[in-house]
Amino acid sequence: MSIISIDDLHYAYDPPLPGGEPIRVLCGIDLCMERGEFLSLMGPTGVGKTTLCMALNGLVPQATGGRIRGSVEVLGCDPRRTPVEALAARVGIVYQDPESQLFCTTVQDEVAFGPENLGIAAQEIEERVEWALNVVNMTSYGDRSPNQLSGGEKQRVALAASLAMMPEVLILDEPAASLDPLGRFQVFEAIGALCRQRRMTIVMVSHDAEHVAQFSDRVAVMWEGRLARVDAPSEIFFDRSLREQVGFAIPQVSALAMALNDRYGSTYRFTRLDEAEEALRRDLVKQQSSP
Amino acid sequence: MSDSPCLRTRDLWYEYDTAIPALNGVDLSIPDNAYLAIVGQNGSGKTTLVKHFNGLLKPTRGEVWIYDRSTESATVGELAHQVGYVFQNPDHQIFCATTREEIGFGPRNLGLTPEAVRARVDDALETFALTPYADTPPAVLGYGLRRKVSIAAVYAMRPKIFILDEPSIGLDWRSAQELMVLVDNLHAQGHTIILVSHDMRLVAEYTRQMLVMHEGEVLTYGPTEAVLCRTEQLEQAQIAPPQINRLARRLSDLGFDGRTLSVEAFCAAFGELWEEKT
Amino acid sequence: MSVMYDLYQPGDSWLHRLDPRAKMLFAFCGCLLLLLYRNLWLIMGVLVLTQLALLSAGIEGERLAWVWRVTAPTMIMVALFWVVFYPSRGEGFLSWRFLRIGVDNLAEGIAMALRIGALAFALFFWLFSTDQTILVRSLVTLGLPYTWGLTLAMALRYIPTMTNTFRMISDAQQARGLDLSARNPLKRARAYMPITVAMLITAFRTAENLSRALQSRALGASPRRTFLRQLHLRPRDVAFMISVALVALLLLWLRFTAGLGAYPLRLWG
Repeated sequence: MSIISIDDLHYAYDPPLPGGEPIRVLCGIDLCMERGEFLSLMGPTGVGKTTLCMALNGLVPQATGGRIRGSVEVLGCDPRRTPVEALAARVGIVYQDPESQLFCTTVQDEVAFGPENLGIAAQEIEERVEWALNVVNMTSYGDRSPNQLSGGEKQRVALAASLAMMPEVLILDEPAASLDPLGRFQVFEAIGALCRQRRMTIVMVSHDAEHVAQFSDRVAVMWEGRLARVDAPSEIFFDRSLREQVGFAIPQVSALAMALNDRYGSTYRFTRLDEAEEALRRDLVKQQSSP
Repeated sequence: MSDSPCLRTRDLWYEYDTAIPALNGVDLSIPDNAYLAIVGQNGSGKTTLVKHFNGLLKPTRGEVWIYDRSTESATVGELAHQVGYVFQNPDHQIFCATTREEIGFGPRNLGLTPEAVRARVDDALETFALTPYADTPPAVLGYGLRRKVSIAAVYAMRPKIFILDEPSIGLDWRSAQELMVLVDNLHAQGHTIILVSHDMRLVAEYTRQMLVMHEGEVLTYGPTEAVLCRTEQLEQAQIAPPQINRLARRLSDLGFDGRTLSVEAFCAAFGELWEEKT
Repeated sequence: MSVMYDLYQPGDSWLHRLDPRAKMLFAFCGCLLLLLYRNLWLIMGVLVLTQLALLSAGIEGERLAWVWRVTAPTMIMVALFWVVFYPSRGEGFLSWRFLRIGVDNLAEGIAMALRIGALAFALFFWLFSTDQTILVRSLVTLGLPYTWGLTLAMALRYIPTMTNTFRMISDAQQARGLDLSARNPLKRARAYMPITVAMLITAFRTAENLSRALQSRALGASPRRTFLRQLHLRPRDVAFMISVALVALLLLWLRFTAGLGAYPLRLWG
């Protein structure tokens, strides 16, 4: 049973300047997602990935206006009709900018903010806050002010704040894009912990091909308002013509696999470092041991 | 190309309000027409260091020279003739009603005549493929375009030294590559490029020299390929080398060189090892 | 020093544990009485009392020193102006042209000056020991609509962020040759334009992102919003509030009947 079902979705923003043209962003999106799936969304900057994410929790079109056509169904609700606040309990979203999604004066208050809005009892809120901070490895940060946190720490707080609402679907819009390597590592580690602890349905927008390969069940490539292809990472990263057309990043080991295939006629399809090590080691050792 | 360094520091110390110095004793000599990457975690001092290069910060102790002129007595405006600094967030610079005006802001501040300003603006618009947006407010353009506008705006000032703070952040792969090609061209024209970046793939692919900052000190400095192989120091600074390098190191027991930095080099090495075993 | 934005100093003293509404009452009564008092000894008494209270609560000496530093210029100015423009009614011990400084107007001048410090410390008795979230919560329980309280709390939280952004924008524009050294105030204001406009644009973008984030965290989802941190008026707090109210009323009554505190040197009339 599909948890997310999008059929021929079209969306155009209102023109930014009066008398201008509406900005057509989504031009026929079709997508189905199953419960527990991890889908990564890749594509050029500005192609509409954030717009698509916001269409899943109702901000598009309820907060953004514009014109929408086609059908979207998330967890049995229609994001065009269900109020954003109501859907927010079930569809969490972590945005790219760490600075503009933390509004409380302490970390604990921030993580409690969502459940408080949902009218959950104080005792349960306390348990949820503790659990969420534990998942992102920040249990001792409860009293800190957001101004004292690094970028990576802020994003982890934002993630914990969404988790505390116990959403069934979690959307991560370039969660580590503006962070330094340590921050990126911490955020993706938290995402990994989340995947292990709770099989949530996750949609992640990212340019980071290596982490996309690490976490995703499927990758959706967006191009000119449509999903050009939705498939397993090993299919997407080796689709040369798609890559030519869209220009997305691929893991370096996949580039290596293609180069090896071209040069030596091998059939490597690895997308991750450990897969690459295993495959190459196996072949070289086999070669060594064969007479 | 001259032999004398374009940028020098001697025992550079800097302290913000807190007791811990942000920079403790940095000695540097950067040659003219360098293509330098400065890497390090947030808080390692790299932004503090780089802000000394255009006079935004003045040393607490020690000295900084730009083309043999000490920054002590120079204002930011004076240094702006020679050192261009593109900040990480383009929205911290964009404020004009049209892209044309935005790009012209810098040259106007330098005191150029209106004709000269117009010529520079047209050149910048063309170089960065921004001519279709010349009369659009830059604030409503998409992020990738705003990024280009902010770089074009500094380019129009024709500084000898370009400092680029995380230019590829938030850009998709193709836009980042296009940007680096433009930066490459600038380098080829004789400019000195100082690139502050977290993207080790880009650093490995494009830059010639690399400097690693850690806790206010220069941990290591040298040609990029050499520095990327200094494993201990990279670990200390918590910098991970590109994936291909990590793979080569994992397979070093099979004969791979731990200094492999590119797909092509790895491929060639693989071929050799395969032949050997046959 | 970043004390400005983070008035609150975390701690677990008797003062911190006192209900914020009780502290607010103290601050209010204190300010009211101080505005009606002119007596040097009483005002000094309030100053000593509040300093001791704050120190006993573990508030750092550095913070108290900051308050003195910030109010010192104003206090000195007030004392000087008073002494100059309200000449002594008696002979005075220093006379020169229109100046006549005597014990009475000197005492009054010092009292008026110290009153400013005392007002500040009465307020900081409340603000140094109450964290921003609890402060806003207490206002909400007293009738402030929740969204107003949230707006206030967010404004406080974003002050340091915006100051930081201002500094970054200022750096970025100066790196493009912007000259901020103009003396003429009008020219200086115009010079700041590139910074102001960029700040406004950033502020709008942040506001838009914030509104999306707020909605995504279900603001307004439930008509009955719960709170993790509850405020309870304990017997101790009630006792404190009643004592403060009674003492304040008593002092007020004495002020208008017996003239308590109405004169700079004499305690009552």
